[in-house]
Amino acid sequence: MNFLKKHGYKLIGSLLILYTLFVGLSTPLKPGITYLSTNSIDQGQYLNVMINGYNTHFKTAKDNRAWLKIDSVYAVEALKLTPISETEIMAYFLLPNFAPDSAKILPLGVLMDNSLDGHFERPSAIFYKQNSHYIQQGKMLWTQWPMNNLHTNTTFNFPYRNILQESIRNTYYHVPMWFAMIALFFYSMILAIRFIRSNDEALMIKSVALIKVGFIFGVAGLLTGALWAKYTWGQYWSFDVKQNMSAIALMIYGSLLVLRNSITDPHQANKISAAYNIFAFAALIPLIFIIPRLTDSLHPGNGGNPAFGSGDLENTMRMVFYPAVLGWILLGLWMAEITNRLDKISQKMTIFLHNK
Amino acid sequence: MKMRIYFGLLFFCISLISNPIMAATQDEFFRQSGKSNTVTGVIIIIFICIILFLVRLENKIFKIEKQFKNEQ
Repeated sequence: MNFLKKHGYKLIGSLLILYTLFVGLSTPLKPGITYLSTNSIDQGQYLNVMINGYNTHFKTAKDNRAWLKIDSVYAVEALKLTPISETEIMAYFLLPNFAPDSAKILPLGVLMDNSLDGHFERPSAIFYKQNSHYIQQGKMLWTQWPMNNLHTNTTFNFPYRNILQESIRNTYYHVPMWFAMIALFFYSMILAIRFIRSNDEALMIKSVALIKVGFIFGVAGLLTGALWAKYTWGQYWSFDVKQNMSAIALMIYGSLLVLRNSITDPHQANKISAAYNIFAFAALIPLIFIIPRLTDSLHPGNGGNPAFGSGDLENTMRMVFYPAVLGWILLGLWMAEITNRLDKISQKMTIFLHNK
Repeated sequence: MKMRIYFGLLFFCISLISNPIMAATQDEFFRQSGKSNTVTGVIIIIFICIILFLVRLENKIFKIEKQFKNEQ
């Protein structure tokens, strides 16, 4: 019982990360559309388009259906679908002469449906161009093929996102590392406040240990983010506001460690680093949570985009994401505990050698 | 020195996690050929090794702490 009380969180943290690694990396993605052979069509024309799918079963499924849709009401169904392979299908559409909208260019989504894969969509896949418009007739023409009796894929899969594709799994490692960093820095700040009130040096050693581990998690968050950015945004560092602000936040904490090491008097070092720690955390909040929301950013959750809404995180992902957050925080606390004990030993050794 | 080693191992593990995922972004070959299972297995083994290393490190620290207590 005592063992579980002392080491339970380490066990839980390790098991949660193992679960995250196993489920997060081995669960397949839902079917999706990766590529279309054309991306524009004029009003009243035939469209032959090759649709490339991901994790699809076009050939095995005998009941493929496809639509070009403006929204949930207005759509045109494919006249004929010819599966080439499990991931390739040829679709033939006849686009009506008029659209139910006066816009010269309308983005059309491609909706696919079959009993094996369920229904899945690629938004804004094809652009419909019209030179003249007749909205009333357009409304009539685009409601002839209702998108009903759609199949639903009920298997436990992660969502397919056009730009992210398989890299969506990095959500379980990149984001929780930041969460862990913030949790460790927060705990460190609490300990710094307690140190200022009580003058207990042990609290400050623990606080600095938390900063050291939190800093490592922050650097890991930056690295995983840079790799992710390379494959989704095209470059490792795109000077996105959140990238810049998080780098500044890390530099603030990095300089705390440098400043602390530069002060020879340990008591003075503790006092200064405690005060610095509180200000560093006060700076971290606007840098990571407020400034990126005030301007445009590539990151979700910024520039007016909601983060962790239904668009970013489906329920299947939440089942891995939240355990990952808890797991990385617990692992961070364990690492901080080890660092803290090592620092205490090194301090005792210094005193011991000094006395000798 | 030991801290450096285990932080280094953590970085190594993280970069291993990230790289295969990114490779799969460019080509679905990675997952469909079943190579992803091998990578998942290797990553899990590396993570278990890190956990064992932390446990071993903790035991060593405990012994040193005990030694200090006895000397005092």
